[in-house]
Amino acid sequence: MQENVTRAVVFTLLLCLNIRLLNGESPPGKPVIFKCSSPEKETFTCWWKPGANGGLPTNYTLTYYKEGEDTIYECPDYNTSGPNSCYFSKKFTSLWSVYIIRVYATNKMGISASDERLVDVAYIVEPNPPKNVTLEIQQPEDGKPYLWIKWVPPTLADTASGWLLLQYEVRLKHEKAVEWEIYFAGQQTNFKVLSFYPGYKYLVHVRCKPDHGLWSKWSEEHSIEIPSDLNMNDETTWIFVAILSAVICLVMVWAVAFKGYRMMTCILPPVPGPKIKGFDTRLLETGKTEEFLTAFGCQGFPPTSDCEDLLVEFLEVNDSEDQQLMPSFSKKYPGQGVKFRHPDRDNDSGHGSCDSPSLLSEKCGGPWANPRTFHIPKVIEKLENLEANITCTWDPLNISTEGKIFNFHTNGSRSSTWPLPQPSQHKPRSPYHSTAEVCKLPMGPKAALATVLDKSVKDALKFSKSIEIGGEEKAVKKMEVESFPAKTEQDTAWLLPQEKTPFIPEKTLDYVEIHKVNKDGALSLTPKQKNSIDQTEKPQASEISKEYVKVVRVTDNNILVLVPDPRAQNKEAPRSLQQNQAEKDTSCFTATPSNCRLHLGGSDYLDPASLTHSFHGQFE
Amino acid sequence: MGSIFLVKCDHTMDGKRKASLLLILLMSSLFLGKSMALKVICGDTAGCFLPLPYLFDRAALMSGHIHFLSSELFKEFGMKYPQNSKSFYMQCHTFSIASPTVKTEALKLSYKEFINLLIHLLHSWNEPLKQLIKEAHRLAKAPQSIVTKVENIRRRTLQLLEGLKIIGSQVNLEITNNRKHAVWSGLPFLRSSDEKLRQTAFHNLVYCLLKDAHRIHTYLNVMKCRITSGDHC
Repeated sequence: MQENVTRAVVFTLLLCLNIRLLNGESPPGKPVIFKCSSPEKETFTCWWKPGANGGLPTNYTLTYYKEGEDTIYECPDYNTSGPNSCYFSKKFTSLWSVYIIRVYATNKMGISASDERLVDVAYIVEPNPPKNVTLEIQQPEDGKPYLWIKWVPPTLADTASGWLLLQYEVRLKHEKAVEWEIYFAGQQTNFKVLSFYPGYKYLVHVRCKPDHGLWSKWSEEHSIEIPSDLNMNDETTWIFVAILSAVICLVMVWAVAFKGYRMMTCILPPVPGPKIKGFDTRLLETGKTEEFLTAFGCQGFPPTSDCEDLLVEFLEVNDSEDQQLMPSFSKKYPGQGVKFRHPDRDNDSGHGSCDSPSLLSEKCGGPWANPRTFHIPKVIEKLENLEANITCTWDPLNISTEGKIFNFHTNGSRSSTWPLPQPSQHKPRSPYHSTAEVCKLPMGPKAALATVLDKSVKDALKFSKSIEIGGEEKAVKKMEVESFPAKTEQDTAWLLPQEKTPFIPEKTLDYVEIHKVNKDGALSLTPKQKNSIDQTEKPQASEISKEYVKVVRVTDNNILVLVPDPRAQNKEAPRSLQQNQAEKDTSCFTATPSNCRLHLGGSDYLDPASLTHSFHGQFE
Repeated sequence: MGSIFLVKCDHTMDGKRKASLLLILLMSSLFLGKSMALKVICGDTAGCFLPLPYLFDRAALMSGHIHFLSSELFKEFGMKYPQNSKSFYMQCHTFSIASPTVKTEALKLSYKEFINLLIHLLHSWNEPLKQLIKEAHRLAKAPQSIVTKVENIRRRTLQLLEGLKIIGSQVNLEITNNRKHAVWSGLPFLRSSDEKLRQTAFHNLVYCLLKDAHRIHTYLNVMKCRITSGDHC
């Protein structure tokens, strides 16, 4: 009701003012309440902007009333907050009730009223900026230095009682920077800056805001000079260390990934399963022994130059990348040797290295795809692989425990491999027939290659096999075995056959197992057990089984020339061959120190102990 | 810093409530990370020691969230249904509940009075919120987000009510049967056939909700800071 009275009064005044307009004076312009705010949620102030004063002195009056009440009040304090303001003290401020405020401009000519302004004190809180901003450089002993910014809440805000809870924000930049870095500090009254540049002067501002309110103005600018000699190295040091260790880790991973094979062989030497690449065991199985023997025949001893034509390849028992081992092969081995485990007769016979652990991937049926440089531990792998290859190829092959057959395996796909030795070199000694690969046996300081390395060995058995390409052909494969000087460190060597026997080309080739190696390094080979093979598949087995091979001589390139033993022709059956324990010519593999894969049959692993026995090679 | 209020659980508190409260406490302790030594040794029904500061912390946090949701709701409502007149600033139904409106009065209140007041307020909003959700479809093209917000607020106010009752029982307030609440008689306005009136009624209710949420939040902050009694609150 009171408001209605007031409105009536104003209306009357306005009517009166209209008359005065003729005098050139005008009533005041409409004031505008542009801001009401509370610094601490306990008091508040409203400011207005006066309108045109109409040329006359103008009075301003602020009136208000609260929601749900009828009483109109006038502003209690016009002065505290400056001109054109109204300050509501604590006494006059109550939260959570709406104030409806209006300002009247009065002059002689009339009254102007502003629009109503609705004010809820709880939502107009705009605190003062924080005070007492201090900047410090802290250098803890065990950490990085940091810039520590501290401040206190503005004076009026009562944060201790919880009436007004403030959140803070910090911004800083160094003098020459363009943009500010702004950090939200939550409700805490300090902040640590960890990233800054020594030697610069930094400028800092702080401001605050209640939970539901407006941000304060930024505090005064405070600056700090960061000393240039500040040690900020922790981070860089750790970054450097991290990068270095990452690089080391990568190198190790690479080493393991790519050289893992070698490492594994260092750690866990595999059971050797020598194989001979290029030796297609199927040839024997399918009975194309004639071709096989023809090759042998070509290499009649003393070898004539006629056999040169049959020279295809050397038997390579190696997976070295370097296939030029022959030429580079030195007469004397640098001392590497292959350590052969004596075959476990009970377990391995007949299974070959297909079942035995081998680190080589191409166990069964695969060509020797990855020649690897041989070193001691690998030889065993190669031998294993060799064995696996041969065994697999022979599939039903079941090498008996007693009969040890010296197995050769040619890998048809590895036809490249070995460079042929100089014909002139080999002519007088032994015509070579190429094989898929030449076996290269490494010689280790503590191992002896299972090849005859005795220089005294004159006989070499040459196996020649034509390389089977495609795996389907039954071409005769010719393998060539090289002998090299035995490393006699551990009395392990394969003895070359002691006697030379003429090479009988017409003899069919067969497989032998290394029986044992005698202390002189003589290989004792026994024929492969034919009865383990499907007899039906090898009609010529019996015929073949009667032939033996012995090492005729060792060539310059340390190639073993093996010839079938004519004495062996008197043998009846493969089984009986087992009884023949006479010293037979041993076949030997020649190999470079790097690689040698000799298939020693399923149970032909030689260990140093066994190498003291002589091998009796028998080729059937 | 500060003392720890270890209060023994009321025997009548059922296991489920205890478990949920313990979970709330653990989460709030992670959330707030105060450097107070917290001993939460919760056994079965034999007795559970729940530190009061954490309960208040949690309650204050929850009320802050309710207030935030309410202010979002109010903003969205104002944008969707703009009103030139400020007639929605009508008196709220909780006006009748005597509550401190200035700091000095608020600081004089005791825990008990505060908790009673808060429970009173929260009870008073049970019905209006329920009706707000139910009758929201009467609003022209009421967006689902508004309804969702209201549902959210309602759920949280009920949770806060539960929490406050637990706090009350811990300080032996004997408020379990306190069902006093301010009567809300605005339902007919919500159902009014006059579109304008309906909108104003809704708007007013939303505004009142915002106000009361702010109130509850402020009171809980005061209580929380009183309990922690540290330099910083």
